[in-house]
Amino acid sequence: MSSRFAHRGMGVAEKSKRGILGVLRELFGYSRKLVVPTAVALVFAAVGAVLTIIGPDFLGQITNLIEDSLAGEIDLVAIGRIGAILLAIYGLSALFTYAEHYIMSTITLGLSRDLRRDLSRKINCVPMEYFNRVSHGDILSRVTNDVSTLQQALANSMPSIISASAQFVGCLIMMFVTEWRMALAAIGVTVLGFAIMALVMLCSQKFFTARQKDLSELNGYIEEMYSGHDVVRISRANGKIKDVFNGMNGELYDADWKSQFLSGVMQPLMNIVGNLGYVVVCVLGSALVMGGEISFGVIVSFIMYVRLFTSPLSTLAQGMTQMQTAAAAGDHIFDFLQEQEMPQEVDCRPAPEQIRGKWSLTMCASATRTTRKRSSSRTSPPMCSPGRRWPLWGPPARVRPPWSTC
Amino acid sequence: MLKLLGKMRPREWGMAIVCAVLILGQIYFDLSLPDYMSNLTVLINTPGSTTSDILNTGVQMLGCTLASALLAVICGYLTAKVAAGYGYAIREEVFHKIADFGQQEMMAFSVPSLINRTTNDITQVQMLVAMGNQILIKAPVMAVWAIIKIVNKSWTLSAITAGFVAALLAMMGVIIVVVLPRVKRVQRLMDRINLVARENLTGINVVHAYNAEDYQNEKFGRTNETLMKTQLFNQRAFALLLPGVTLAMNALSLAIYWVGASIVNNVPAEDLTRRLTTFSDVVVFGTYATYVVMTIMMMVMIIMLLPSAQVSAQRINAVLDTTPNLVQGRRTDAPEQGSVEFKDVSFHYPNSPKDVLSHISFRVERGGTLAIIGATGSGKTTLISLIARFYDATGGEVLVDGVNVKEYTFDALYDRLGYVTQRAVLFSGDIEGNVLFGESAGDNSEQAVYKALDLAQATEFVAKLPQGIHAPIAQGGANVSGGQKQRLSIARALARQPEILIFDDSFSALDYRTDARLRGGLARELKDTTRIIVAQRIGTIRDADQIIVLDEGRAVGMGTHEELMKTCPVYQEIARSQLSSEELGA
Repeated sequence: MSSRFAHRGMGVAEKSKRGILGVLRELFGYSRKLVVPTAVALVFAAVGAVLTIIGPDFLGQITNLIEDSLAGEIDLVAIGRIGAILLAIYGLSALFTYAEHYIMSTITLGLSRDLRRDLSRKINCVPMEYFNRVSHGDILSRVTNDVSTLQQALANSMPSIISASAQFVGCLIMMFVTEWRMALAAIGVTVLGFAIMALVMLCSQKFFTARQKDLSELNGYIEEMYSGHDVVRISRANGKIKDVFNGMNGELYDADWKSQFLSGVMQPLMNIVGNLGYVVVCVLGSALVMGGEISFGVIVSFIMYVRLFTSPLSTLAQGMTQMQTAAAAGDHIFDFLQEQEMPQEVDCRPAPEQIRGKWSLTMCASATRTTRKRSSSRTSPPMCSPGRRWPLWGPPARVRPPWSTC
Repeated sequence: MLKLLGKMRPREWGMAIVCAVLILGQIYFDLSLPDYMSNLTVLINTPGSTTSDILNTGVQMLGCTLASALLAVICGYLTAKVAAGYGYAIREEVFHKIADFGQQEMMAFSVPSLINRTTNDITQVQMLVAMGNQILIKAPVMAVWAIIKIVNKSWTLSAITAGFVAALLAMMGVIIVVVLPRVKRVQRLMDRINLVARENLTGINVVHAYNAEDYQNEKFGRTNETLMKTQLFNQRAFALLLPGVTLAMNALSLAIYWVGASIVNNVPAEDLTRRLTTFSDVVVFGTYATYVVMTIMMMVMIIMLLPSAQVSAQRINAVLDTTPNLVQGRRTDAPEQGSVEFKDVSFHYPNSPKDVLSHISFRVERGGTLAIIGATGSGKTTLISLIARFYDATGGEVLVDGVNVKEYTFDALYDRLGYVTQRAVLFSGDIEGNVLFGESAGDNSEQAVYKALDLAQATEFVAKLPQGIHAPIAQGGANVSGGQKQRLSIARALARQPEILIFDDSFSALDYRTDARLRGGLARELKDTTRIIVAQRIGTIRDADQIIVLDEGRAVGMGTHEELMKTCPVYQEIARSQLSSEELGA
């Protein structure tokens, strides 16, 4: 039996066929009013990020002020002045970041409401044959899980990708402006980071889709068994469904830990790259300071630059994995929304005054079926007056073509 | 949450502990870096140090970094195994628990909620374990360790750092207190969304038939709107956290340099070495303080996950803490065969004192036919569900084959019964799989499948399918008609080859001719099988050996059709509403 019930669902391994950009294009096509606020929010994210980059430069200045006057009186007033400017910059940066978060959560939640609404409406529009291919649990998980995943990715990952990129580019410029040799060293380390990131991403993608697929299949199975619980019980099927479940659960476990491992390892790997950069900056910087080529403040700035420069990389890496999950979720959503709808049916809805008793309603329901099966010559269902009996017997139903069920 | 963590298997605990140890090592190496930096600062400012001194320190720093990396990767591997294994174990336990639930527990939780508890909620908790193992252990240890390293360097700077940390914690506290109840609400609303969408899916035929799309859409729309508004509030509140923490972190390092400058200034300028060490302390302090705030930032991330994971954990626990009401007995043998007897049976649902059935007594012998008729809500389904032990009688005794149903093992009881539920349920798979669903005393041959289909009057339509008994069935049997669904679920009960067949209004979707053929076939082929039939139509039951007329849980009439036509007013009324005058006269 397990073989009979185990291979269910889509069968073919799914791929994010639209890709991240494809899903984004679909989204903006889906809701035009999304474009402007998103653009504003992304600009805010970038500005907020760039503002934080100016910080290390000022900190370096403070350090230099202290170090220069190690032998004498330190100019506390000058330090205070620089500090005040810096604080203002930091405050502004926080403000921009908050505004970005505010806008993004507002529009993406509105978007996910619309998506849920349309998915729910779509349920009533797809041909019945669709339900042969896709389980209820699968459809439900599109309405709830997939929409949530997409929303979170849009609200969090997308802006963080933008701000991380801005931070990355900004840092690059600031580093070169400050000291080109150290900048080159830091970049060399970071390129290594990129290579690792790309490799991990490449490996993880297939496990992520596998995980998503296993999860939705398992959800479908769970839904079915819970809904038919009384039949399961009376058929003594408890043991067997547990076995089938365990098999599916085991498959999920496999895909689960692999994808988890790859995404979990990304962060430490990026940290290492960061630390490696730190070491390189410290050593190279010290050598340069001793050679009298740079001031000590440059090292202090660079220590922060390296952090600011590599942390966007881990943010990028994380953001990209999340966007990848989101792309898979977006595929689910848009596949369903773009599913061929059944032909618009002849509107047989009786005008309100015609509904007097349940018989007239029943007739209408069955007439919907007959009108489609027969030629279009019979467009309106026979109405019967309330109170009159209308026999509704007929030969036992044949297996009807799928579209006729509605 | 903690309670649910107790469900972690020993293997996972072991891995988690190993991981925790590795994390300690990782922190050790991470936190050594600023120390080396401090050494470098001194080296730079000490005349006479060479480049090789610096390189030497550099190599040591590199070693630390790589060691930390190695530990992190191993730890990531363990964490993934722990989290996935934990999710696996909980999922299995929850599913197994629910599979053994009785009707009462299913109703109490509701099916959609149970589905959510088995899927989403577990994913939530699993995610927390995955992040928690890395961050929940790492962050506090790192924070404390970093604090220990810096606290004796400067009291003033430590106080400033402490002030920032306190302010951050306060901010987090406020947000959590405000948002937590709303996160719980989001969870409930998600349940509701799921429920409404599911209702629409399962009732898709009805929705289409009655053009109820607008009604469904509106119902969905209301919940959808509330969900969005609640989420909006939550996410806006959470949006404060990240910029807040970043600002605090930046402001802190600024403050340290600011105050540090005056501390260095206070050291007499003549004592250059002391000035130098104080200065290098300030620089290192800055790095460590950033570490402290950064770990707090990591905790913020966890805390964002915590409320919803907490709610999920509670909901999972609620399932795991439920003990099914029904306990099976030990008996497998019985003195009789095919008999069903009710001795003064009464029943009321657990949360209502009103009897749904009161003082019902009857007995059917092997091969006999008992019919139960009555208005909707008169207790017909409840009565037969007591035979199958969906519930236990609250008064009197229900006997199958002369033994109280409570004494049987579930397997022994269900081997004796073939039960066709009111709502025909099919599972995705194929026709054969549905007919042979579960385990029974009957044989599992293809022959048996054909025989059951034949008796259930399903052969005709099955034969027309290109794949025959291997034709696919969609989830919930959405690709077959109501009548076909019912015949297949009847075939499933017949294939069990039981002593007693119970039909809960199972002929209602069949036309009269199929109904009659089916009953005729049963009477001919299964002479020794006891049949209990709940029906709405007099035509379905008029040939029964015994008919019970139920009215508000009481047996108001018992006897054959002819007897009841004479003696029972309720029965007469039902008959008059259904049969023509000729039929009544006959």
